[in-house]
Amino acid sequence: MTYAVELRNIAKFYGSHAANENVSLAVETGHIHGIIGENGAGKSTAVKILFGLEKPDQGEIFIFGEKVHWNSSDEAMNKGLGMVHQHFMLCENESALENFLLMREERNFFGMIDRKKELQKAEMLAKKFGFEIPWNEKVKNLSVGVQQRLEILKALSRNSKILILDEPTAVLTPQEINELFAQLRELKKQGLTILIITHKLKEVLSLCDDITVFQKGKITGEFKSDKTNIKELAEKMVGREISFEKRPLHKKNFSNANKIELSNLEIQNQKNKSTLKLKNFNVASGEIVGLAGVEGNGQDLFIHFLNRPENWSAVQGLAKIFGQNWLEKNIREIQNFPISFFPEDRLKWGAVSDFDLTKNFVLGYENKNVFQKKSFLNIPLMDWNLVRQKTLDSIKTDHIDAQSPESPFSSLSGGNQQKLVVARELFHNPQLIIASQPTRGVDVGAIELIHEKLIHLQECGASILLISSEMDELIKLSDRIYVISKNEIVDHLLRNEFDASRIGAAMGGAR
Amino acid sequence: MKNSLIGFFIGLAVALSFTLFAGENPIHIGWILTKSAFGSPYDLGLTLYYTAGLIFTGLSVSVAFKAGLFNIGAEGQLLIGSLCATVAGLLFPNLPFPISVCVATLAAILGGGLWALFPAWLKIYRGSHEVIVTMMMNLIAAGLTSWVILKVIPNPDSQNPESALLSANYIFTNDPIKKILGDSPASWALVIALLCSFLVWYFFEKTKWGYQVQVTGANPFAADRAGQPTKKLQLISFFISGALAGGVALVEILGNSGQFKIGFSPDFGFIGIAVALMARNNPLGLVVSAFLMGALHKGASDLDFETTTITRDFSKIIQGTVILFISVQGYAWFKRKKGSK
Repeated sequence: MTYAVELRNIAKFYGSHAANENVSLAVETGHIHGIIGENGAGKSTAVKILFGLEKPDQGEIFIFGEKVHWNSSDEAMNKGLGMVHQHFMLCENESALENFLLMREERNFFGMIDRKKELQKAEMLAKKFGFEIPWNEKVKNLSVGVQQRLEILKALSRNSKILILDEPTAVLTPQEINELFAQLRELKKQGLTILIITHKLKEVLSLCDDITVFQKGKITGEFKSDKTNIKELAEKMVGREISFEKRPLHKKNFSNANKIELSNLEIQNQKNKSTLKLKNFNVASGEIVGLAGVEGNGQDLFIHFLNRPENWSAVQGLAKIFGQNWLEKNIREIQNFPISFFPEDRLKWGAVSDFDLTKNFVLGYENKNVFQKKSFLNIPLMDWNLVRQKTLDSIKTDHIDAQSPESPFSSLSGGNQQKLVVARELFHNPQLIIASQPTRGVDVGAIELIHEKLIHLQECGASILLISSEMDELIKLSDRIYVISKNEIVDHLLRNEFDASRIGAAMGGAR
Repeated sequence: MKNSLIGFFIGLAVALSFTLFAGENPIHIGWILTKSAFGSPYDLGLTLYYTAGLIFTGLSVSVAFKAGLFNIGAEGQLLIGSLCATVAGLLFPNLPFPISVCVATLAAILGGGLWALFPAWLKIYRGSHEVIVTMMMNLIAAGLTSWVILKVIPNPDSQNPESALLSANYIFTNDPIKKILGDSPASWALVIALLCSFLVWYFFEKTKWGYQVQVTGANPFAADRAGQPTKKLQLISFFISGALAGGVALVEILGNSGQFKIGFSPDFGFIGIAVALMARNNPLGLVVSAFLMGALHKGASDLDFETTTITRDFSKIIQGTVILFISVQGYAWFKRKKGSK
């Protein structure tokens, strides 16, 4: 039999770094094939080569047994490949139909697009696969799930036989993920071959027929999904055993006072007038409290309120943090409290990528006396030697893979960047940690280290607010979980009530 | 810094090879250029006079740049700074020597700084682009200074477009730099320029505020999350930027002519952009690039007198070509920096 896709001995080098080496991969026609691996394991590179976005340095590509050689992804699309990228390639201000037309090249006699005919075709295609899309609605008004369906239709619009999906579940609620998987199975029934890239092990096991594991640019395992399990996949992915359970706690003695205590709180931003209903929300000492929700449902507003209360006013209720009325505080005063923030997007909010590690290690803490020396005239001078020493200490204790404290932040891998940011935020012994997406885009080794640090802080009596869109992470670490949807806290679960489907339903807006 | 001079020298080589079209020997022209830039103490003095002016404008551009803003308006700020120094000098002719100079300097700093503050305020609080506004304000500054010089404080003893002379109290009579360099336009202002580049370097490398300004310039989102007063920092940086441009008043008004001659600036403000770019905004490296650009300006201007074929316009082509090559290299550097994000 012929394979739908076959890669033979593909290699790709960036400088001396091998992104792919000896990659040979065969995808059976009509199967759903999962490609898993950590960030930077080379799975994206392999798929980019397959789709004509990158040129391999070595190796051959076969599509349905025919040897091909791409000069562009356009050629790949003409051979029946379609790809849905992790970040959608949609024009937000245009209608769904217009976005769909981007993929079409048919013109009438006058060189114009026949919109009526194209709309019919789009509707037929959607019907064929059982998708419903409001074709005249602007893309920005569509939900993420519908946007993704539109992307899939775009990818299929040139009579595609092979569909590639890059991290398709990253932005979806559990319910939407189930819907997506049902649709993919339907596409499979109609004879399509599907390649799916992900780092979520449970999902590949439930969806895929075959699984290929990447580690450090090479393929380390190939499995039939009914003959393997999560543990085996994880080990092949990381190269060693990892735990999925929270380890038993050894709590030290501390009082159980609430660090965050919001009672019946509803706040409003004074500038853009957005409101946030936090209701009764508390985080006690020695507790990890999760905040679950699809991104963009008010988590960023909550962080902004904690960080910049001067921009917010109470519509009703009371906000006490460290026992003090938080709404009377401003950022300057907050910097004197033992509170720290893990930024949800470290490159945007938490670091300066051009700067070296030393200079990133004081970001947000440059006002602290430890890092300053006073000169004559009381001009605050930075004690760069001390900062450099502390940076070096962190590099050593946390095994951050960096050449020196003078390396630019951007030269580090995602996991090492995050480890440095975490080290910085924990350096000043915080008692309240707002950990927002603490392990996003981070390899498993760094995830374990960061989780262990959070658990250790919990044992020492610190309070942790864990804001995450990773359900597994929330369920592993949290003692309690609040669910936020559309700027409102909609559900609250104790540890013994944890239930992914209930949380997922609440995230989607159902009560 | 070493590599960043490559653009300058390649540009110079290309520019000199253009002289082939005028029937000249590029090596010969290069020799004349070098000789007229460094040949005698007086020539060197003129080169250093340009150097001092370019250090001030180069620093002005680089301070704004570090705060994430592009100051195209150094030319206008230096004109207003010089005008304020002149007016202050004419208002208080009887102040004793060192105090007189301090007052004029203060006027120059305030003039340049406040002239820069307006576009900065528009940018930071109203969202207008600082490049457009500072450029337009250059034209306003040129018109305004011309009007004040010609109509309010003209030189009664001359038909030239220039202001009245400052009193002798404003002139440093025993300036050692002038003595060494054959009574050339170079002056004590060169020392102040060097001091300023050290101070700017110290500010950015050592102080907390300098660090915060750089964070604001490199990643305003992170600066905001870190609780830095980003708007205030940018506003202050732009004021300092304008004040440094105003420092040209020391070079010309107080250090050289003792009056405001309309058209005295050989585009200090614009060449300053190339100077800052060549030094990658490093305040110390900027001294070297200002010296090179100063020498080029002095040498290229003299080609007009020294040869029959290389006219004034041709010397502009030579300088323009060099700046083009510096910009190309600078652009590549800038892209690489952005690309690493």
